[in-house]
Amino acid sequence: MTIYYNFAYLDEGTKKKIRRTLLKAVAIPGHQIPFASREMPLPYGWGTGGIQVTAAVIGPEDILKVIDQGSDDTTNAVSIRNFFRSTTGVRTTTSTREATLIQTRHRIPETPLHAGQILVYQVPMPEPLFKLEPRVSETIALHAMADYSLMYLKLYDQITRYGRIAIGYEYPVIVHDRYLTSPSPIPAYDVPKMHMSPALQLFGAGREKRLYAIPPYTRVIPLDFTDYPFDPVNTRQPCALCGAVESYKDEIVIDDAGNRQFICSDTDFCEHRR
Amino acid sequence: MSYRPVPILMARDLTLSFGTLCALESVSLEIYPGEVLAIVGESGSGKTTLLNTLYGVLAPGAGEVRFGENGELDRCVQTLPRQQLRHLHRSAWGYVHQNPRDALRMEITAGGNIVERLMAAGEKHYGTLREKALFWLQKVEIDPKRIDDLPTTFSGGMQQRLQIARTLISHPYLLFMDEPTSGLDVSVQAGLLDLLRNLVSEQRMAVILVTHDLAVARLLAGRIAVMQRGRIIETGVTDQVLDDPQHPYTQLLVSSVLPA
Amino acid sequence: MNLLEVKDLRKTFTLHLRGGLQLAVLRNISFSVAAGECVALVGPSGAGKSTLLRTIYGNYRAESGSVTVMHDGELVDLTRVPPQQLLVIRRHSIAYVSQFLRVIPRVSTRAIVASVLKDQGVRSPDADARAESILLTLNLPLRLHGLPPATFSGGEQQRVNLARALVTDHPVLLLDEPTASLDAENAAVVLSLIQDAKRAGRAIISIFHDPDMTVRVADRQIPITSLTENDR
Repeated sequence: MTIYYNFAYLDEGTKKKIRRTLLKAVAIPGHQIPFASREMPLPYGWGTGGIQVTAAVIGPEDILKVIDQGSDDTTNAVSIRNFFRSTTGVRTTTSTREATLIQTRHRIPETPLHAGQILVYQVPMPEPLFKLEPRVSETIALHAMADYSLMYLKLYDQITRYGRIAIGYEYPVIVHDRYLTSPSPIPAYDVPKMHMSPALQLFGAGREKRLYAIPPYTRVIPLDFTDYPFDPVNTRQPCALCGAVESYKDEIVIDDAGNRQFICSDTDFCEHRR
Repeated sequence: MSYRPVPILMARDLTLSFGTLCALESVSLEIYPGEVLAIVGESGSGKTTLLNTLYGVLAPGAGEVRFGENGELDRCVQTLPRQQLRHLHRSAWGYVHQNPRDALRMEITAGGNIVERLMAAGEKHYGTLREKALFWLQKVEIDPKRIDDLPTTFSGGMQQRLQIARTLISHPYLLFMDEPTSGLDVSVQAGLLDLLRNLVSEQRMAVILVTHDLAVARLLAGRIAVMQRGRIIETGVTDQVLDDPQHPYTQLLVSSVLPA
Repeated sequence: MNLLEVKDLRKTFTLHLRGGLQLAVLRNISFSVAAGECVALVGPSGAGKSTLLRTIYGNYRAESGSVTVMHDGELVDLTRVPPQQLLVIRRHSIAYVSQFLRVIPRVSTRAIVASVLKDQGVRSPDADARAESILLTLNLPLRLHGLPPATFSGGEQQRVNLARALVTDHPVLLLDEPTASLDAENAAVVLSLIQDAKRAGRAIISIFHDPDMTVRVADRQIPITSLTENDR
């Protein structure tokens, strides 16, 4: 028995509602907007937010790329790509340059994005202050008053403990000089790519039921102290496959003796260099 | 030349009920720059309710609290937008809780706790923040070496000193204190009282101090207001009210204190 | 020039805990004290001498009458000023030494005496030095200055009390039995300090338990007697 879905799985009413919410998000960069997250054919924690955003904006002419930790060929990336292929019939690709719509989990592609592209982030926890203040009633007030001293406290404490700001991923940023935003769990190393990007950046959190957005060419500034400026860590080891030094690496254990290799996390970028 | 003191805070006819229980009945008072006013009374008298209404975290059913650092009294606590009230609480006013754990962030180091107000005010230089934290640790007589320790490793008296440092760092002109020494061991209270006295005098702060301990009122406050069942029944110079009480309830209160 | 004027002062205590019992203590008290003068209140025990001193200071509320004191070049009626002004006047113009030493426990003697100066705005090294100086004059040795006075003898505590009043230069001094617990040698020191104060132009009202002291230092005596039924 064949089951036919509406284009991109979601009904038109839902897509319209999500698009409306995304418009609001784009109008208030970095500010989280609640939305009625739908039941998706996979559980929370597997990218339902990102999938709903992609489903709402994807059109028949789009070329879709899906990556998971930078790779096109992990199980999740493959599954999500298949899902969209079978519910929309759009062309899919592994090429960052060729894609018009990119859904990503926890990385920004190494290849610079260009105008007209949309990057959809999968977000587990949209509230950057969550670990410091779990009460939503409080964080709503803090955002409204732009009172982010809690986050600065965390940074102060880290400098005290570790001698430096030691946030490796999900580094807090201020968007458009106003809202404290979570960039999703991308490595701190990727944060500078968000600043003044020509692409439209959309963020979906399915479990937490929030959407937010960063329009093209928006200021995205990581939090820091004037005497302890933002300085993300990355290994300077070249990629074992393509030799690139500047890309973000995965550290892979290759045998039982514990030998390891550093390999580009962005598979498309790595392939193009080889 | 006549002396006309200008109040920095004025409450008029504050009335507040919790259901049918009347906690404040038409309470009026004024605070003048640099003075310490003790509000005393037994439990249930309404003194903490009054403090919290003046501070702005409780809304009265009737009456208002006007304030202004320059004596203009042009702002009203009850109608102040939430953001401005919050800003006020973190800069120009201070509140010292009876239990320091209600004010401290127990998972943040002592130093972090102290400088939070400064960061909220926009200070972004780590070195400066650290300097100020060390300065204030010394001021409240905590060993500066403990700057990176968590408050959970501090004694109750030290936690209270930490709360005081964290509150005073923004140089508030008005301080609200709710039984600041009551939760502490008696041996620790003396040191804290002395510290408070010195800081208040040095910073020229006005203080509204709620206490059930008449001895603390006598030592710290120049003026005292006695509350009974939601009303201020007597007010005046502290030693005068305590040594020559006029109201029957005040006479009862004063005569009931056990001599040590 | 009169630094203090008491006029028709009257004080009655109402004891609400005793069904409103009224105790009349002072009636129609009038006198004045000039700069450089020491006036002694004399009379039997319980007559109201201490009460009079306390009422002048504002420690007891006057029932009626006036207490005018020279403050900042002006005569001010202490019974009619707002509380804030009374406290200012006490800080600068009128000092009172009671028989009891009431202080925050575990604060050093030096700090206790210095705090009177600090309340006037004198800064630390200066205030501490002056505190030390007056304590030494009162024969309280240096080794005691760092200790809290709670464990001192009665006489030592009294001298700490006196130090608090004598360290400043308040124009008006009220002394309640300043030499009561002192031996002859220390009493003599206090007397000489009172003489110094007189020479400096201060006005002093004092109660002495020893008639000999009264004669040696007071320029005038004001008798205070218990009120009879007729007086009330």
